[in-house]
Amino acid sequence: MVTVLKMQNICKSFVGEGGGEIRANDNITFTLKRGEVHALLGENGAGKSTLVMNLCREPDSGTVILNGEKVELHSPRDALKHGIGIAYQDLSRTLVERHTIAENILSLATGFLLSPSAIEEAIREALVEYDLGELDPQMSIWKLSGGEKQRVEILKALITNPDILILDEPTSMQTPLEVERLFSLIETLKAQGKSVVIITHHLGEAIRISNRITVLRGGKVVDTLDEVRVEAMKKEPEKGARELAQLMVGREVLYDLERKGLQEGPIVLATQDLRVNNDMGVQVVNSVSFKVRGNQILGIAGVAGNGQRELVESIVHWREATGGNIHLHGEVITNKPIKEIRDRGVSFVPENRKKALILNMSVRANLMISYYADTPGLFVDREAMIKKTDGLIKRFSIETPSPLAPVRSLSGGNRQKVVVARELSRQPPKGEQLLLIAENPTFGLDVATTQFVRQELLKMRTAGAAVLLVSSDLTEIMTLSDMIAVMYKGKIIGVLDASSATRESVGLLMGGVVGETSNVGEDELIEA
Amino acid sequence: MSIVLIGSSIVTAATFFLIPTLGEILTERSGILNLGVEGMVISSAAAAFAVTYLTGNAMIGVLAGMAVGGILALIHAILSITFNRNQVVSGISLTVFGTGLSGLLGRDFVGRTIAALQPIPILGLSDIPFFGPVFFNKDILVYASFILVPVLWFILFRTRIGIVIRTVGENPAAAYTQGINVILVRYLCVILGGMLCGLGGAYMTVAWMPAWTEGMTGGRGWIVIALTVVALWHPITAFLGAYLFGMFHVLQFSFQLSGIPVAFINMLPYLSTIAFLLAWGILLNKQKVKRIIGAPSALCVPFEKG
Repeated sequence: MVTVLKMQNICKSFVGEGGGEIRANDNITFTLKRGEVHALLGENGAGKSTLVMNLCREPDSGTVILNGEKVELHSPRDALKHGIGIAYQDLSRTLVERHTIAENILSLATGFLLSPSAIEEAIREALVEYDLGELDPQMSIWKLSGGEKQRVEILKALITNPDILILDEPTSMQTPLEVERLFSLIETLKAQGKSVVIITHHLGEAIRISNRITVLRGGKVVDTLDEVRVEAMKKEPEKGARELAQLMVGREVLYDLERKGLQEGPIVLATQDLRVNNDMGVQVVNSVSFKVRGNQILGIAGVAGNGQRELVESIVHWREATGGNIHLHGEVITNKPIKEIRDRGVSFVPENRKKALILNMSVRANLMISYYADTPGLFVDREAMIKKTDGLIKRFSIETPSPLAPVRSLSGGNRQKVVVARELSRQPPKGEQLLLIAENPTFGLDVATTQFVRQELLKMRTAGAAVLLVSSDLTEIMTLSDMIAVMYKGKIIGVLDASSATRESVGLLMGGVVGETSNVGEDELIEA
Repeated sequence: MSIVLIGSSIVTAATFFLIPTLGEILTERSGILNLGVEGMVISSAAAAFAVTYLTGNAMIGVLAGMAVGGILALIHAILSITFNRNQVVSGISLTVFGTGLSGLLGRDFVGRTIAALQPIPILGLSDIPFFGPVFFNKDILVYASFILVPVLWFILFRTRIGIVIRTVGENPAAAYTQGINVILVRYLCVILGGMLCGLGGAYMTVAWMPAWTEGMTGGRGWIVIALTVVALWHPITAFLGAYLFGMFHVLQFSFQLSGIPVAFINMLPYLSTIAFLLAWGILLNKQKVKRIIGAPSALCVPFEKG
């Protein structure tokens, strides 16, 4: 096959938040052949997105060779001109929330006048052509789910009819059914002689869809697996995924966590017909009832945006519950002041870390936030606080140059460790169990930190805490939970015992399919 | 005062609010806040008067006013777009600078008189009772403001450049990743917006009250900023808002004898701005307001290529 794109000796550095230089791409050489799907794998910060972004900005050094000719691509405009279409990962930087789908696809706005009807028609045609499912071109972006937004982004890239299509984590918010659809679309494009680069975290997906796989680690290419090796992996995807994970991390990854069989404790949290609105005033949690006991992890599975966030935020009263009741240890705590709820032994690890941390303040101050009130009187017992926070930094192995360094200077994984350390070390009132609410606690973390956080959650369970785990990561749900509740469109549409649940049964429920058994989602996604 | 005279005065005052407001809408729609309206308006008012006095041609004066508005806006553009400086600080400096500049430009022209722009009655329309003399027996700049409203609306909402401007104002990165030159779009909008402010300033000294006294805009440039917010960044509502504020402005003279303190009438534009903001906040859920109407999402947010 002919090489269409060659990126040679690419180097790209950034100034990190701590002030140091980060070599995001360190002498990377990457080739893409005509009609192939090439997956880019790597942990967060391995340099995958940085590498493809070099197709729409100048790298520090290195050359880009397109169809045998050296080219200089200074901006996304140049990339478009050379037939490179990119579906970006960070949708907040590529879609205009307030505009409609039609208004977002600027490449369809040609000529001087803007004709919404013609653009909408073109979008409808393209949706059919590429089989991207139902999308109303007149719908505003803010009304769409995460998965729908990703499809708009993919459509935006496709509609320019590129020869090279770059998909940066296109499936992170899609249901298994939508992923299937996207994959058959990629197959079609491949058959048309187009080349696709796909960046993903899902090792199973990468093995399934790609011809070749390049693994990056710390800004360098670890290995490029050729067609033969990828073909061999397709036969044994489980083994292949382990091999890839090892390449990504650089050592054997522990997939198995210590998990003891435990006797269930008393009911800690119970909700009754809980109803909650989202920011737009639309009810997105519709009469949800469930119970969590001590020594138990209740996993709430579901594709992001089905009301999970609103649900957990209402329990800690970050958000008003509009109906129903929340009981903690049998007492109603619905819409009680946040401090009162937390003082009764409720800890919360939110997905949005910026809401849990004050980035400009020190690690110590951030760890102390929950404990200031422990010392009675006007003053804070500094000695005790220093002792306590130093202990936490050590116990949770938070990598920080000093306890006084601002949290902003820490990596994403260590930031999350600060939150986890603070929330998990809180003490419930005597004789009661801690309720720990964890919302996508490993989102965006590397493999090692992910394992660490998961292990800590299990430790909490052993210690008697009731854990409510909300996650859109199926692996996380399957490996940690005692019970699994699946949330779909604001309702819990199924509760399964973890011992009998399969990835397939949960995956189907996540897509809203109740009481049917089909083979969709059989090819399982083993995540890093 | 006769009712026709009051109506006519309202149109005159409203035109002075309307033209710069259209400029500020264009500027802010591209994501740049220019708080230098007062400075641009007063400098161009002085420049237009001076040039008209020297050349004896009001149209050349108007062009000079627009040029001064555009040049001052360019300073703001360089600071806020090229150097990503704080837009609020830059805009306020521009106002202070512009006020000083106007004194310098107009220094030798205090007390001089010029031939103001003459009303041009529009054949047929000017004979309509009340509306004729109020709306259609005006100078060319008033007619220009009538035309500018639909033109700006059409450009913003019915052309390709319009959707590009709005995308740049909402999410510059989204425009950039689709091959748009964000910097260029923002420069053009800020400079054109400044020229419209200049046109408004020129209107004051060349058509409305053909004389120059220092500080003659009396802080009315700030009303333009308020009006932009009240009009929700939309040219049509800006038209209505400008006429409402124009009415307040004329009322202050009519009510002088009625016992209502003038200071109270002077407060009305600002009070109504607060009332409008409050009304929007109460009428709709806060988050919803932000998603549907509100300021351009990227207003005041510098754009850096990611």
